[in-house]
Amino acid sequence: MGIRATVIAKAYAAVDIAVAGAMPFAQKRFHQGWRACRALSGLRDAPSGPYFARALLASRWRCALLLRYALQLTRPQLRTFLDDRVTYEGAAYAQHVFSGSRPVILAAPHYGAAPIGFVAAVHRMSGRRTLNLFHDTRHLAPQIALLFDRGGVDATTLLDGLPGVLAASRALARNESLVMMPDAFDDITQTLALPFFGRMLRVAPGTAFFALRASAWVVPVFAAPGRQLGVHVTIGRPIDPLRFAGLDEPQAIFLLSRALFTSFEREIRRAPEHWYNWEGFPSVSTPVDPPGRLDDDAPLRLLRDKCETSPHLLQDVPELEMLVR
Amino acid sequence: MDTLVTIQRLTSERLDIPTETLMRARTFDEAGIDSLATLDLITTIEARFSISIAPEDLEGVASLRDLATVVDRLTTRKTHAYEEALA
Repeated sequence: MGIRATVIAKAYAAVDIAVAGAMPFAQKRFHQGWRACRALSGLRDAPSGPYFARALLASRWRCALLLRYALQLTRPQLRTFLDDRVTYEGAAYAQHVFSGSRPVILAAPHYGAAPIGFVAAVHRMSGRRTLNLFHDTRHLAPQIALLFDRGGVDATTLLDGLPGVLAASRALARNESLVMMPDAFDDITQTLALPFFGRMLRVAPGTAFFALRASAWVVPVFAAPGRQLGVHVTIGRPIDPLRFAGLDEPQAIFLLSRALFTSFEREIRRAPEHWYNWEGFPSVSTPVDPPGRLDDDAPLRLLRDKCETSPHLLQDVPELEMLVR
Repeated sequence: MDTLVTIQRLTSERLDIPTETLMRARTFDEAGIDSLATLDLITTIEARFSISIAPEDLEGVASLRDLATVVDRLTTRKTHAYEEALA
């Protein structure tokens, strides 16, 4: 291993100390953790506080160092890194999906270690080597492209817009894997509103749309930097679009997206510091009014009155009786 | 322009958008057609014109008029290929 990789590994080991040292001196506006805390200060159900600010900054530094470290490795060294330094959680859930005959969509929230997570996921998936990624420029960033190349990933870039949509659809038809990061809020013309961290979040329907059209499994993937040099990849429970087969398309798109973002929220709650979109979150989401008082039984009284005036309702739906009696 | 009229009719039928709206709209956005809806339209057009549209063919396509130009180009290319095969 080269000197540079060794130095990066040493720096990685010292991130916690460096972040703790930086806290008293860092200007709050230059500190990513404090900036996120300030953006989230008015939200009821979001992380905050000095511990979160420090953890967020440490996560960003670790991700940057991890990427640099991985880029220093040769192909065999990277393979060894993936075997020795990447831990997997939940991989057993997805094994039958990866080795199955249906296309797969890897859906990941914006985490800094996501590129390494994708390489690790491909390393783990037997027989699947081609990843189709949406990207807003014609080519991947050279560093990421190099990482994929050394990791043995045949990465194909899909353009945004119509050509990208058609290419993604064709790739899934060829039974290839698609990588999507559905929590992108830059240019969304058609959106859904989904519950997320106690707010309604605007999200693009693309992931669910492709999954339903191609009967592709949706596998949530989370790649977080470890405290020791390495990555922890959590593979969420795969979502089968066939569960929603009997519904009309808009309803199915909503329910599948909801299932995916529920999985995202569950994982982000475990370690919120790794999500990159906290600062923008308030501007792409809307607060939900608090629910009515629990003792407000107006809807129940209305239902009871309806049942009294139309007794056939109770005959048609016998379960109503349990509610109104 | 026959191609454009045909595509407008197919779009109207497939996506349930009035033809007048499609004629007035200069872009897909103005017509209320998003990229996911366009995917259905592409499939319909491929079947109607017996052509295969590649993702690269759609670069820069932002309206039904652009799409009609692509379809014309692909149809012409297919006709030439057929004539060459016969010759």
